[in-house]
Amino acid sequence: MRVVFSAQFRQAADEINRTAADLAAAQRLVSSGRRIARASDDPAGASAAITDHATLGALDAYTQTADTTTSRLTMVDSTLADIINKITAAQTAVASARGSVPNQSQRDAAAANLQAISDSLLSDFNSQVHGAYLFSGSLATTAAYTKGGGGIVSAYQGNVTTMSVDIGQGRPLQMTFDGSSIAKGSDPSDIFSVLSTLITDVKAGNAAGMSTGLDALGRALDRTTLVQSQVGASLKTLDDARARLSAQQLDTKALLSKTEDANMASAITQMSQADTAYRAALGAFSKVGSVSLMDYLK
Amino acid sequence: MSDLFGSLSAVSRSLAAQQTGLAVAGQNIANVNTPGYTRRAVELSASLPIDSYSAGNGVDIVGIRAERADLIETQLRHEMPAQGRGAAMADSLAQIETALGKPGASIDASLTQFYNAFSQLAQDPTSGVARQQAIVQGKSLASAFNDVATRLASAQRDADAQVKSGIDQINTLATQIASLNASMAGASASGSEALRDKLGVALSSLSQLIDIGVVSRPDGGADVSIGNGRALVIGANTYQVGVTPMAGSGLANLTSAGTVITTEITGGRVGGLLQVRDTLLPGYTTRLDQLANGVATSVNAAHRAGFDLTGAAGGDFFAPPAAVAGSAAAMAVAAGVAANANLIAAAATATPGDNQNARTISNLRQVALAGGTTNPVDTWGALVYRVGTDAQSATNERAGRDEIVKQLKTLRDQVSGVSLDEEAANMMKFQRAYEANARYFSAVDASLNVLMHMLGA
Repeated sequence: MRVVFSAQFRQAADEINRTAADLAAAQRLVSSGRRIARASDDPAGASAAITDHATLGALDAYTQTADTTTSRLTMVDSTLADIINKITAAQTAVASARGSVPNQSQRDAAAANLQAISDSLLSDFNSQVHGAYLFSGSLATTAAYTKGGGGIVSAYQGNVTTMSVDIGQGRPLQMTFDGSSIAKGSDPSDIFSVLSTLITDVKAGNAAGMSTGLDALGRALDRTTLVQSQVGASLKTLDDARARLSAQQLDTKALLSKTEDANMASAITQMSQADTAYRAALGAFSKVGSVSLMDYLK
Repeated sequence: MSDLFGSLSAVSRSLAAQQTGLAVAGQNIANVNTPGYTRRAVELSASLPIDSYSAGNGVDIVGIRAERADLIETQLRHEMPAQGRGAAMADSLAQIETALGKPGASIDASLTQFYNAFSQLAQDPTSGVARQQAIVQGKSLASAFNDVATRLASAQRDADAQVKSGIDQINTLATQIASLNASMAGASASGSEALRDKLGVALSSLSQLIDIGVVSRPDGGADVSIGNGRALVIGANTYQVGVTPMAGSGLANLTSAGTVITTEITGGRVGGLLQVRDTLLPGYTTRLDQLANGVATSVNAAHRAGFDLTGAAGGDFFAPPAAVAGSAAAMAVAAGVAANANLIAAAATATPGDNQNARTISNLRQVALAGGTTNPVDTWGALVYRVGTDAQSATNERAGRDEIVKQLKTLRDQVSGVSLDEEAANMMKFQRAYEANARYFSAVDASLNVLMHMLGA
């Protein structure tokens, strides 16, 4: 085989270029820590990374929704607890006015107490988060109940459609409530009408009316307790959802890291090998043509 | 039987032959770095004796031969178009890959943020901030589509400009080859070899640019054809490749003698660039447009099914695309929505404060696009995968062809290249032979002197 001058130099230069490119690639791998700098580095990996990034984005959104909804439902829960307390207080006030022992002045005091409870309940049913009413169904900008002239509380102003948010793919969770299902349910009158009638009956010492009113308050208490237990279950669901979302995030991040991140130990070894190869190519080039027969012809 | 004067004549020819050998070695050394130079060798032949009693008449110079590796040169001309094609495609696709951006930092991220904005809006459908955020993310998504569409269009224009530049080079080389053909027709044998070296360089450069067919001429020249046998050079005549603007796009159409030959060119740098410009990039652009159109259409359909904050039926969220083609470049948030966040139809009923339509739009992230089987982000992932595999294939193709061309060049150089060691040995060989012949000349001269002296001269 004839070894010619130009071929030797061309091959040596090619080797320098190749090893320099390998070294540059290894340096990029180490400095960036990323295995995939462009799609052609690993097309399937790049495509999988896109899906994983989107999954992480969706999980972030679900987590944020879960956090916000937890705050909202916690407020709903405390509002419902307050409603329960107020209904219980109303029952106590009516009970204290029943029978022949209380005199008119005591019955008037009980009636005044019932009026205060009614006002307070109105405030509870019109609770808001960020300006949105919690107990108006999907009419988040409409107060559930309003107080008109003469202190008469209106009929339910909201609707029966509740709003939900997604705390996972295909996992909706209710975040607003139909106030009428608590205040009225299947009863002929809502709690405000019941309290209004009770105030009249208490003042008049109408035992039968008070008894009917107490029954209605009892049913209102049951309905509120039922919704509160549902809210409690939702809060538990949210706790579980957050734990699940957190685990999913960790799993997805681990998966993404395997796809995108470089194995640093391997990358550093690779860089060291590329550096050695580059130095060897440079050394080899310096030897190309350094000796020829010309040197020996005098 | 030879006489002394005949010997002097023979040695004189021999001295000239050795001198020529030295000159050839010098010529080879001088051209050790000349591209395309084929090493020369002097061909010597013993001069025939004049009769059976004669030792011979010395040496004759038969000629100076160029050590060509014609078969390998032909193989190189077959491989170089593929190498050029692979290199052009790899370079262009690397640029396109960069245009698509990194996973998690391109259109996929904008899509996620857009759907997340509607998820946030669903939590607080009356919030002005959440509504404004949905518009901002919609604009950001539209801008991301616009940017990538612009980059793809720019890459297509770059490829087109390179095609035009390649055609200029092809025509220049064709002119050069025709000129060399003309020179060869009247050149001497030695001059013809130098012209063939130049012709080889020109053909090599041409085959990098375009796949060519070469037919050798009896005088050493070459006729060159391109495409489906279209003449480029016949003897001293060139048939230049023309460029005409393509209807609609304005991209360069290649013509030969008035016939469009663009689709016939598949090899060389120009072939690779045409493949990127006319097949790959339009394919990517179509996929991008389909994605943009699918996203805009699905969001608009959901948005129209909802109701805005005033209780009015929703309109289009994105400006409705006129057609699939151009959807990515034209994507924009509808002017009305962009100007008034209250027009975002977050509600599923005509009751202000509802969030169900915002949920529906947010959940579109998981819904397959119309006419497809994948959701928006996975559709984008499929496009990135396609570009990645195309770029990977082109890079592998280039690496493979580079290696083949490298090996063929090495094989060619083993035959045609100049070895300095070999030339040094030749120098010594011819120098020593010259010295020996000179001594022989002295011996014959001394013999003649003796003879002259005897004659009293």
